[in-house]
Parts: sequence; C-alpha cells; structure tokens
Amino acid sequence: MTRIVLSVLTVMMWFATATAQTVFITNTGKVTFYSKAPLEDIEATTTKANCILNTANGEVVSIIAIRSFKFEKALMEEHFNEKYLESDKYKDATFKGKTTETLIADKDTSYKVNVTGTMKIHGVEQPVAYLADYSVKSGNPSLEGSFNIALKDYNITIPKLVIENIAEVVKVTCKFDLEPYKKKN
Amino acid sequence: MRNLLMGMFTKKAIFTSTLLLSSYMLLAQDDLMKMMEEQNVKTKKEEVTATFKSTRLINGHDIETSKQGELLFTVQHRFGQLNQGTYDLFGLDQATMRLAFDYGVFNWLTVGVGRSTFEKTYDGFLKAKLLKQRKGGTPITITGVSAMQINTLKFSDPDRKNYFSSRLTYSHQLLIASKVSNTFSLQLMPSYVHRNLVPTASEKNDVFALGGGGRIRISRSVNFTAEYYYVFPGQISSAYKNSLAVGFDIETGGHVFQIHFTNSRSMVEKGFIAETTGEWLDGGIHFGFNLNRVFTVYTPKE
Repeated sequence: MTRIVLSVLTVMMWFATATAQTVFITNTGKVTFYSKAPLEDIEATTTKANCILNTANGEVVSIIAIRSFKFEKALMEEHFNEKYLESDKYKDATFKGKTTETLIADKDTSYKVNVTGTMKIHGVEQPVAYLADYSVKSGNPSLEGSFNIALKDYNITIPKLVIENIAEVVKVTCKFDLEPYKKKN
Repeated sequence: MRNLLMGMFTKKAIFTSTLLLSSYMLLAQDDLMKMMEEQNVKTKKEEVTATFKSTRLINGHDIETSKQGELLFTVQHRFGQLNQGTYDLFGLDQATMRLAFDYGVFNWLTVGVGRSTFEKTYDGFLKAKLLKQRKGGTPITITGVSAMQINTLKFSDPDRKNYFSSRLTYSHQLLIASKVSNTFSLQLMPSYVHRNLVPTASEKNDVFALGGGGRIRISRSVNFTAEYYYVFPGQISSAYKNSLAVGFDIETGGHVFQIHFTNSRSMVEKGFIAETTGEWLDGGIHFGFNLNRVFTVYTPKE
C-alpha cells in the first residue's frame, strides 16, 4: 500500500517536473482595450505583452507594461499614462491565474477553457474570470479571450469634463501565441 | 497492529507528499514570474514624458515638441492693459492675437509658422529635442529653438531707402528642463535675440537674456505656470521691462487651455524678451490665453 502511494506520488512529481515541455512563453502577446463612449471610441493595443503558461497545472501569468499601449492619438496616450493609469507609479498590469480544465499540449487541439485569477491594474487587485479559446498547433499553444473591466474597480476615476469621452467599462481582448520556454543565457 | 502502523505511515507519506507537491505548486507561479522577468531584461531607461502640458510655457517655448504626425493649432490672445479701466473693460476691447500651426516632422523635430496681429508679424521656427530626460538616467531634457520674425508694417519713413532685411529679427534659445517630480517641472532658457535694425544707436542689435520658469501641478487637469525673462543690462532701452507671466494650464480631452497674466503684449521672442513695455506694479498687465488643439494627421508606425 505505502509503496503504491509513494510510487504514485513520485510519478506525479516526476510528471510535474520532468515531462516534456510544459512551460510556454511569449513576449509578443497582443492585448487591446476598447472604450466606447458617446463622443469618441478609444482603442489601444500593445503587442509586447508577456505571458507564461504551464500546461502541466494550467497556471498562467501575464505582465503587461502600461507604457507599451499605443493609441491612435499621442495625446490620449499621454493622458492614459499621466492622468489615469499613473504608469510611472504603477508600471505593469499583471494577471495571475489558472485554467479550470486540463491543458493538452502534446497534440493539435482546440477547445474552450475557463480562466480564473487575479488582475492587478493601477495597484488594485481584482478577481477576474473569463472563457478563453485554447488551442495547440504543432506544439505551440495559444490562448485567446476577452473580458470587461470596470475602471472604478481599479480606482481609475474619470473627470466629469471627459465623462462623454471615456467609457466606464472597457473591453479587454488578449491573444497569446506561446512558444516552448527556453532558458536564456 | 501492523496494519495500524502501516496506515499511520501511509497517512504521513501522503501528508508529506501533498505538502511537497503543494509547495511545488505554490512556488510555480512565482517561478513563472521569475522566468518571465529573466526573459525581459530592459536595456534602455524609460523616457520621462509630459514635463509640460503644452509646447509653450506661456509666451515662450518649453522643451515639449509635437509628436510625429501631429498638427498643433494654437490661438493666442493678449488683451490690453488692466489699468486702462472700465472704458476699455480692463483692456478686453484691445485684443491682439497670434494664430499658429506647429507640425511634428519627427518626435524630436517640430516646424512651426505663426502670424501675429501685433506689428503684423509673421514668424517661423524650428524646434529640436536634443537630449531626453530618462528615469534613473539623464536628469534633464534639452531642446533648441531657432525662430525668425518678419515685421510687415509699412515702413515708417517710406521716403528714405528701406531694406527688407531691416524687417527681420532672429531668436535662438536653448531650453533646459527637468521634471523634478510628477507635480513639479523647472526650465531654464538662455536666449539670444538679434535685431537687424534697432531704433536708436544706444540699443544693441544683439540681446542676451536668461529665462526661467516652471509648472506646479494643482490637480490632475490644472497646472500653475510661471515664466520670467531677465535681460542682461545695457542692451535695450530703459523703457523696456523684463517679461513676467503667470498662469494656469487647464487640460480637457483634446485641448490645453492656458490662461495667464503677463506684462508682454507680443507673443514672439523678439517682442516679449526685448520689447516688453508693461510694468506689473502699475497694473501694466495683459490678460491673455492660449488655446491649443491637437490634430492627428497620421499615426506613425513603430
């Protein structure tokens, strides 16, 4: 009995640590947010989002530099960084989460997964849950999804003067095409 | 007995292993974090942005340049002197204005043209950012501005031989600024103005001045600004004063609205540096505003 338990655990440990590739990473993830307000629609995109995924346990971590978001108008970008996100104080948005479903990484596949975790923006942490598309193509997994965030949840306030210009809830879309993790020297 | 012992041992083994496993899992997210950070070693220090809210401190330029592909349209007004009393509604009846377009050729290079009603002056300038302040690196930003002004008033004495070149004035400034903190920026402006023609022999064609100014953030959308130009003695007529201006920058979505009080009427360098006539203490103060509106001509690709 003991032996069985021990060997099962050992195998689990071994699987968790030493199987084929289970960690995938990207630093060119695409994250877009979209604000729809009566006076104008504002969209900003970064293609420098970092994401790392462990398919062995479904854990996913993402770090996005606030300054990497690009806007159509430079002035919007300045206001975004200076007045709303205060990016010199709060440099990054981070997400730490986990997929509920087991992730298959060793063959081509495509299915939906539930991602739950904690989002930290503007120094404030909030739980986030969303449904994502998970797929694997020739050994490279990708994760794609979207969710809404309410600005006031993250202590981002909009002055009355521009309330017609900025939506209170913005839609965030993310797409991460991941590659096997290789340690850099 | 044996079974009991065995059971205890099994429980212990499971417990220890679970603990081990869970600690492994716990570590995992931090490990992922660490792995990610290792991949992203930043090589360049971040640029400091928004030292000032507009490309002009009040009358003069500040270190900010227009972004590439952006057209800045500025409408500037200076009213008459406050001490003119109610008949002219404290100077409001006598507005002079300047219209200007600034265009960002690159993020570091701006070209601009303007027309002032005061002395029917056309002006053009080139403005280049030479050094950028960086977080934890270079402490200052340096921008150079070279401008030329053409006075197009009719010659006062059309009978004598007049030269076109006597209409021209030039100014060159080095703007040195530091965003000390999020709420406070400071700027120094060593300035040089050259006038091809001066009214009297006692006035110098070349005028050297040192300007200083800054801004203090009052709220997220409002800044207090001040600007002063000290003209080194013995260069200009004693009728002229040093230029002093104080004001507020008010930011809305796409506009920056600057309102201020200044003893200078002209809005070009040769005017406010070398020909300021108002005396603050006697109420020789002009109320004025700059209205800045940015248009995006095109969004540059990275």
